[in-house]
Amino acid sequence: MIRRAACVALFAPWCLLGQLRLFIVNGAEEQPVANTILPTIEVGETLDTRLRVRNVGSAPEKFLTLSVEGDGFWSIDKPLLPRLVRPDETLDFSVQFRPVVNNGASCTIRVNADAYLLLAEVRPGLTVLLDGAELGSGAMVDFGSIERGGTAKRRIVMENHTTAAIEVSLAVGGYRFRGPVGLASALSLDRGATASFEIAFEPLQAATHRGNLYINKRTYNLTGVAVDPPLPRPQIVIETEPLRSGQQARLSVRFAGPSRSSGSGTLTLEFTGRKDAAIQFLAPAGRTVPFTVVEGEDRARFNGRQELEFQTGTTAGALTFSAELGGTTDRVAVVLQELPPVIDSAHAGRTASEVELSLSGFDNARTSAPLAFIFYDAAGQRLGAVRADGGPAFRAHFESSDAGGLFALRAVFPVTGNAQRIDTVEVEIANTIGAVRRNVKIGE
Amino acid sequence: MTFRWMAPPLCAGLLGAQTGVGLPRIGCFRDGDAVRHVFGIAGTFVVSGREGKGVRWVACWGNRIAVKTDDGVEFRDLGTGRISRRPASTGPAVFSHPPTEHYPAPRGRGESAEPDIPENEGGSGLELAAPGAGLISAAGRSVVVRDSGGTERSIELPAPAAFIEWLGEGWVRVVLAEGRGHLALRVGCESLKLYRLPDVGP
Repeated sequence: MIRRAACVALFAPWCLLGQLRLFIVNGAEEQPVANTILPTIEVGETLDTRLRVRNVGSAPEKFLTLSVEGDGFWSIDKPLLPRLVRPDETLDFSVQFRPVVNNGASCTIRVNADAYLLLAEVRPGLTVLLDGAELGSGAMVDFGSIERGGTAKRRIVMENHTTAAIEVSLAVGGYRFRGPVGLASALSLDRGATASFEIAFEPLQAATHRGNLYINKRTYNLTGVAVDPPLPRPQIVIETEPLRSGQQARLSVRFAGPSRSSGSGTLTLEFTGRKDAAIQFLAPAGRTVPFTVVEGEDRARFNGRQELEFQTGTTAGALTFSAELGGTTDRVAVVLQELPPVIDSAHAGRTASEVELSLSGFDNARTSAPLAFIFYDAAGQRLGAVRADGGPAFRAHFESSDAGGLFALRAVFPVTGNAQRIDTVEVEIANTIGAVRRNVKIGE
Repeated sequence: MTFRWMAPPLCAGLLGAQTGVGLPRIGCFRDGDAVRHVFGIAGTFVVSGREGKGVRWVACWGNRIAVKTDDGVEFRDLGTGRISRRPASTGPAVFSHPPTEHYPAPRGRGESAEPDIPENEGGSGLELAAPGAGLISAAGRSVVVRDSGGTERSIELPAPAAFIEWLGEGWVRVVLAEGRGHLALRVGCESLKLYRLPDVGP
């Protein structure tokens, strides 16, 4: 059945309308908007109707408002209002009708206080369905949000409820939309028949993608959002174990497998203990450093390197490493136990009247106190010893230093007699944990 | 911090002692027109902020530091606090080790008028003579130390060296190419050992 469109005036008889009347323009002819037949169209087709407002009175009339209301209808080139319309003056505009479904439609056009009703009938055609609901021409088919590299599909169903076969032409446009999948792009759909196909959304880059589906003269909008895959969960791996004070060590931030995405994160080193400026990452330096993740790699990079050095410093306490990436955090805590003092280097020299001893090391407990220096000759015979309480000096040094338990000790011993007899000095430094001894050969 | 005590005459030859406790120094290096001091021990380094300005050349040895500017040289003994300044002509300088003297540097490498005095040009070369260690050279990803007897020791670098320079007594600073950071090479021990210094920025 083909229904026809009609245009009728309503709400008031023609004779009771105001001076501004609405006409349909057909070539050089004007027809009052009443009993006017408009061409019948199908879903997906567009019908432009030229309309004219004319002042049929003998006095100027104010044209205040013009509105077009109705599904599938909208006005184009509306005159700029308000304005004064002189007798017999006309103002033209157009109404466009594009039916989106097979049902009939109506439109109300208001010229000042007068209302005109447009009734439109639509020639039945294909019924297009998405998720069981009729899909109007121009509607959006949303593929939602998926990871780039993935695929999302939507199934479109076409039904022919008319009394004749319908020739169907299908096409899909858009860089990352593919279809029709599972159906030929041209087919004849018998009356009462149903056919369906899929459209695939296959984005490779994170972005909002748009495309179109064309079914005969109907156009549907396709949209989908592609996002990067989530960044992997970081896992801190201390490459140097066991950790103790006075070390340079290495760590890495690893993933369970190759990262499917690129991004960046931060690695933080916190220290629970007394102040120690030496406890830090080295390159880049600091206690919070950035790292990058490269798609396809299973480790983070620090300034391009897959490992990061850090210093454990010279203070007992707890190191806590935190790697934050993509909203997930991995933490590793390491306790640096208190140790006896550690001597890193020691030198001793001699003049005719003095023996000078220099040594450097650290005391991560910062409790060094007893010092002992025992002197031997070349045969190993003990010549004498000097013992002292270094506690006050060490405490004063550690309290004034922000470099942890590092210390340099310099001792000068005046010698009477033959200083050449002194061959070796044994140094002993003790703290609350234990003592360290070092034999230092006297150099010249 | 320094303290002093008089030890009892526990042995006939030792009458007393002077002892001081402080922060161990590794050395120093030039950073732009300033100096950075490196404190610590092997494996634990603390690099100071930039100090001074107008610095052209610098040398460190123990507690002694020599700084050459365009118009003078300053010698500083951090142990005693003694500072001496002398006028000096414009141009590069080499320092004795310990840095108590300076000399105009020869313009051409290998033309040193003062043998056994390492050249310190703020880091412009891949060779230097290190007192007590011998001749140190960097080539590609390795550093070779050749002592006076001709014995060579080498160590691999994580990246090619851009230049090497004297850092302090027993230490050489290796600056890696392409901004890969800088290292401290310990040359005063039997075996060479390499440590990473904390980055100080470009």
